Amino acid sequence: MSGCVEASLLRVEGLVKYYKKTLAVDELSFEVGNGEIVGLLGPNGAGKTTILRCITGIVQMTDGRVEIDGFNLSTNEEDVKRRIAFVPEVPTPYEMLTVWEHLRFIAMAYQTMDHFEERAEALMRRFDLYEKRNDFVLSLSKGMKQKLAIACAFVHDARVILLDEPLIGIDPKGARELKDMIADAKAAGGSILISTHMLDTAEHLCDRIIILRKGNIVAEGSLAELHERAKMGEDASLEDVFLTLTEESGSVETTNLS
Amino acid sequence: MSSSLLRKRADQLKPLIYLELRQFLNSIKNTFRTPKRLIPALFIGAWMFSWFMQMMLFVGGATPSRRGFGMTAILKHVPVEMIIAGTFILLSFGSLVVVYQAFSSGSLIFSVAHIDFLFPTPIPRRTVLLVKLIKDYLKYGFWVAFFFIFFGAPALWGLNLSLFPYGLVSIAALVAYLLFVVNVAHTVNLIFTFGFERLKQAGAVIKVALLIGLLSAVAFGIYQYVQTGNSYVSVLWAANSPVVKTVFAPADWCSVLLLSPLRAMTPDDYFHLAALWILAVMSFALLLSRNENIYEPSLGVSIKFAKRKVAMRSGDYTGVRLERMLEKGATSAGGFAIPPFGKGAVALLWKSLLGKYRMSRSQLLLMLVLPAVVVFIIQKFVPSSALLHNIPFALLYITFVLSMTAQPEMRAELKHANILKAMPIASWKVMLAQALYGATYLGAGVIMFAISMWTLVPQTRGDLLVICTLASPFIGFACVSATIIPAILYPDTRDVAQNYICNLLGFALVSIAIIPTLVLGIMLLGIAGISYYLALMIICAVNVIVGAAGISIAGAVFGRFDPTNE
Repeated sequence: MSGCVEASLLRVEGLVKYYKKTLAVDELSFEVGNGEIVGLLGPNGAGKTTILRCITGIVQMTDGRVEIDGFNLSTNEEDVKRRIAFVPEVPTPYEMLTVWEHLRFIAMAYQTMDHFEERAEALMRRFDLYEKRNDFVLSLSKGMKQKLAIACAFVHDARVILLDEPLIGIDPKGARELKDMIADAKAAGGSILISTHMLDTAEHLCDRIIILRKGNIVAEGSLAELHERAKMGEDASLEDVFLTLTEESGSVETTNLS
Repeated sequence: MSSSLLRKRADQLKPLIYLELRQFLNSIKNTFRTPKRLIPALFIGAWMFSWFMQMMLFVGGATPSRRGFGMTAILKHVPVEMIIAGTFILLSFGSLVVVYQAFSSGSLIFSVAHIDFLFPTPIPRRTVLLVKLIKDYLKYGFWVAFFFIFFGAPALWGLNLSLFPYGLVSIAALVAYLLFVVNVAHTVNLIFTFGFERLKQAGAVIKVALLIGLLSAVAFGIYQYVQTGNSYVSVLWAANSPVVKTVFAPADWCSVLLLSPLRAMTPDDYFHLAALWILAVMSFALLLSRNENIYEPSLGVSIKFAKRKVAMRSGDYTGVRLERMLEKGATSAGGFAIPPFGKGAVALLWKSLLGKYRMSRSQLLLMLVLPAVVVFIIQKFVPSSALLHNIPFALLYITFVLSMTAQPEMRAELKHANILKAMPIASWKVMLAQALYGATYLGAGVIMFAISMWTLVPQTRGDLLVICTLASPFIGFACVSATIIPAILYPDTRDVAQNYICNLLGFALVSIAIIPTLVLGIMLLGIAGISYYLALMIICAVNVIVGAAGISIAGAVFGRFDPTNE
């Protein structure tokens, strides 16, 4: 599937991130093409969230280059951010705003107020938030807060969507809606980067998977390519492949199979 | 600036203003939403209003009274120069700590919602920082003004002085100084978070210079004390040492200006006030000119602060302590531990004591040091004879205050009610263990205070101090038994209304539990004049009965407590 990709909307080159003396991400390079869904997989502390935070400009890269739609994050941060939507892991929305006000604030921040009303209403209906549009966020359950965070990500026209463990705590209907929206975004030519622990999600949703360990890429490619890399048959699950690759990564060099 | 650029800046500011305004208005709306939030808010509002009106009378120059925090008495003992020196030491030491910490830990605190939802937006970091700083500055201004109006005005009133107009100078000076220190700390933190080796070396040099400044002052003070034996003069000497005066010149100006209502303003004072504001504005401009990513240094500290705020707001002090322990990296037990003892309810007592020892070491250390410091200060101002006569009331008051700390402990313990209720231990025994734990802690506090009195005030050495100390754990047992009852009735620490009612009821029940001791004490010692030790036995016996009654009620309430319905 990765072969269909014509251009890369998101390009990460030689990304290095140190937290004081701790190396979190080590010379990492990858691309996510137009209409492509890429999964970032890795055990705890592999650097998945740090990579997403570097791309969104929340943390500063120690070295490297992030480009979105041709804009360099270091020199055109506002242009880059305008093209990104980010769903954080276990989001904590503003509790003292109502659901509607929260969506409005995000739309104002991205300066995309055209057709906001229709767009916000459609999103709220899709994620069962419409009945709660005038409720304070503090009264929402954990799953509803997650849905609100997803709705916020789609309230503006993002070309690159970054999702950090998006399906944790969300009900099956919400999960289906999210998967549909990701598919829609992909069909519209967007680039989607998903960080997840949920291997079945990655297996079914992603065109390409990047397996990380201690800030390095252990393996990268489609599911079939990862099977080949792990010397496992087609019937082996991604879980088997993942465990094999992350366990042997200590002695194996990073390989890009794409 | 061109009009398109201005429009762009306004567009960037709009969402932030919308956010702050909506949050502010909604928080007010939320307070009035339900009666359980409204009632405590009205109580607090009414109290604040009455206090404020009283302050307005002070400001308006109403007839002075004998109140006013005893400022006349304080000024009789402590000259204004000494107060200025003390203020200077506090300000310079406080700012030293703030700036020193900024080298290693973040000082810009944002909400977690900001991290999740605002930081990824295209609003420029500088705009986010600008709004954040202005909001912080307004808060500082409000709190400084609040402090001066609520506490400064009555203190000045006691001296037949008014807060206006020179109180405004004090407020302006303190706000400017706070802004300056905070801006410097933020700038230091930004620069050194992303600093490379060269910057880190510069940071080390600055830290050493600050420490040398501090140590030179201490050395000056000690030298003077050795020479003269006069502690006041030594403190003045230390505060006026040339290195300190130079390094902490803004703190020096501020400390003088803070006391301007007590002394005449000089032309230099006006110059220093202007200089403080120039420093505040310049440091603000310097901070805004930095290009470093302000988000990264604030991530860790913001999340830590958010967790602590949630725990504090819900009254979960155990949660706060646990959070602090985890921050310090405490993952396994080490060093001394209270050896296990007892079975059943007695084992519960051991568990609680061990938990206290492990989680509240700093509090326990404070319990060793604080009584000595308090007694040392009190005996400087209060004659020994008065101290001797007030021993029973002082120890009773300490018992009363410490017994109130048992309530949050009980509510924290109820978080494990599932485990407690599943144990083959009768409910009243569980409560007894809890009350004995509280009484042990309380008794230790009172004993430390008594030891300090005994050591530092020889006149208090006698039977009265001994019997009051011996009676305290028994009185504490009665008080703790009373205070834990509302804790079981209103266990939800996240609910503001439950917290309020629980505290109020606890206060009332402890007051009731302490009445028999007060009445018996006055009757037996004051009127009947029986021997101290006979009175002690009677008071202890009565408190055991009161405590037992409290335990039986608490046990019955705990027996019906539903852990799934917190």
